[in-house]
Amino acid sequence: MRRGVLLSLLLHITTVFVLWVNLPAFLIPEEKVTYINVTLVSSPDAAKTTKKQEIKPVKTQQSNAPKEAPKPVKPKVKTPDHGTKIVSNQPSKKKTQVNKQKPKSQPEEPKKTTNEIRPPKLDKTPDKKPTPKAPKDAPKEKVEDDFLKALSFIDDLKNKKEAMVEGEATENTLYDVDQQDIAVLKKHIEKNWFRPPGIKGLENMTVAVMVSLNRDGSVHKMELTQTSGQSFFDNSLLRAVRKSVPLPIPADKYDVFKTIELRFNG
Amino acid sequence: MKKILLSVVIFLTTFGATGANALVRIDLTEANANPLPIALADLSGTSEEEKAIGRQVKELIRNNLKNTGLFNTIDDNAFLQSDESLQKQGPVFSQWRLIDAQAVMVGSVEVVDDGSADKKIRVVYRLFDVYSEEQITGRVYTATMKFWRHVGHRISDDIYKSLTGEAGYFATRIVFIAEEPGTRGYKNKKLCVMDQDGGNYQCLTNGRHLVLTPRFSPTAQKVIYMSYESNQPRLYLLSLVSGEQEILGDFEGLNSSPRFSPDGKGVAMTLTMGHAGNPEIYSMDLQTRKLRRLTIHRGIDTSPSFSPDGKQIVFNSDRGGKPALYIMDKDGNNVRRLTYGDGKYYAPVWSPRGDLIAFVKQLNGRFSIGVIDPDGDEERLLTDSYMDESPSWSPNGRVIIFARQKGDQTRIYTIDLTGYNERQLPTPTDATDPSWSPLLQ
Repeated sequence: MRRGVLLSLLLHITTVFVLWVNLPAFLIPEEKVTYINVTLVSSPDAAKTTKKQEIKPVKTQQSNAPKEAPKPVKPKVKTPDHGTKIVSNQPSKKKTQVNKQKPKSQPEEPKKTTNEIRPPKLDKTPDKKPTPKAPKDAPKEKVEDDFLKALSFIDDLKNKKEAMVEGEATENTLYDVDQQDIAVLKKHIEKNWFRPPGIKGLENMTVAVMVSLNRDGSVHKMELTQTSGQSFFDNSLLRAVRKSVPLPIPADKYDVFKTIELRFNG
Repeated sequence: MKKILLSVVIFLTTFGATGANALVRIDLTEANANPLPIALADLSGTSEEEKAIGRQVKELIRNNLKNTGLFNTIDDNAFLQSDESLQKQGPVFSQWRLIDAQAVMVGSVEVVDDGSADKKIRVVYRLFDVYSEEQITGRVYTATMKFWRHVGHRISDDIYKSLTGEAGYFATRIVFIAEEPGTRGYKNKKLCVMDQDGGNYQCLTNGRHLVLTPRFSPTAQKVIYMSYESNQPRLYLLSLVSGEQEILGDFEGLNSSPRFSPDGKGVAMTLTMGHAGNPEIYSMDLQTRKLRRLTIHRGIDTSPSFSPDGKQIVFNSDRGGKPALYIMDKDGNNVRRLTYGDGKYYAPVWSPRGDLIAFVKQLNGRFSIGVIDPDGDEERLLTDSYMDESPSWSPNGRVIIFARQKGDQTRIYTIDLTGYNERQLPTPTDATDPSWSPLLQ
């Protein structure tokens, strides 16, 4: 009898916990990218004669155009449910260590070297450097649904867990997030992030993007999870991610890097 | 029992780890500080005339964007997509990605002949994000053909705003003093205006009287300046639209260093009347012409400049022993010292976006344009030369324009608030005392 009650109680707690853990994903409201409407003005004379009118956005690829990358899918609210697959024993600790040392690195005091301000010399041989293509040909990563597989994964875990419970395991090596890998990714994306210097209030801006990746480092899905409130700034980061494909994720740690969060805290 | 507990624990950890924890978080700090690569495709047209206008407008936009130092306009020779293909099917973004463009502008020019005397042009443009493949901004401008430059400036402002988040400053003008060698070694000084890029240069006075320190109203096409037209140093208010001019007030002594309040309805200035030639700061309501004295001090108080909210005034005073900058409330109360550094500080100007105050600093025989935050915490010197003076902000608070004497020439320069991108503006003669207009209304 007591055993039954206990079991029921535990299962209830479990259910509630699972709901609690997964619920926030549904609760996050969909962020709409807002476009700033520019108010226009003109010179005293020109104002009288100059007329402006808004034009509707066009669909840009006509049907006879070479079919482009299927548009990087506009993120819907729900992040892919990786369900039972990703496990980390001490993930939260690792996360907080990521690059906390310089949270306030502002653009440095400008140095007065004029050649730095010159636009880089333009490469007139355009074909030389094919940049990586967007997510297009990448095999679409399917979110795993196979229940049995998921179960077997639990079994693996169970074995490992039991080993740990018995005090055998000392370090969690399986999904150890290597700081080196993160540093490489960080550098790669930062290099592709064009951000005008001298933005007012940069130190108060926060923006975050959730990116789920395919195995080849292309972007499967991308979602703005926190907007800076300035669409130009949000868009600059989204561009940076798209320009960064394929992202240099270690091939053997795909399960760790399949969903990453990019965050800028000014 | 133990086993059940264990499996529940495992269950919990397994699922607990999913949404919440199994996420690699990357904190970005730095970014690529290079200018943003942007492609400007030709503005298409059917006739030769339309194509020619398209080229002019495009070059104007290119010049504007390049001069900001924030954009790298990609050389047309690097373009992979031909004009024909562009017109037929719109931008093929993969080809623009290959040349590393972040955004591409496409558009067209049409000459509209509606029977009126002046031909009109209709310019359509769209700016696309090359990576998201979406339109960032796009507009149609219709204008008399002679205003093609203005249309180009407006498009530049649109592009600038959509990619930097700040209002542009291209559809603006600069008022300044042009100096020409005159008789008996004196210089003829004329009040002149030109577009922000040097176009549409014209002079408003004939140079017979000494004119100094013109300042643009932040809200209207009005200029306040100091002139000896009546053989006395007086302040005049000039409307650039109507050409009408009026004297602000005939106050005894020196009337100098005027500056509009941010709403354009008031003026702060320096007067020496009634206190034995000692300059004090006054403010005046332009409607009621009521004068109000703000400083009462034996030291020299001059060069007032309002904060963008109009609540405070930064000014120059030697009350602490040498010229330094002070801030007071707009009614003259609550004076506090802003600068404590070595050297002498002059000519403060509060940025329209409020975060910085620009000034001239004289130290060891050199002059610099510098900026300091209104709390006085961080001072940065942006320039260094034999003689830099008269700073003034662009209406978006990103660029400072100033005059520099170099050898026997004085020219107008601009510099970005980051200290990068110093440029000389083209003027036919010597030029001093520049002041930037608001975006043209």
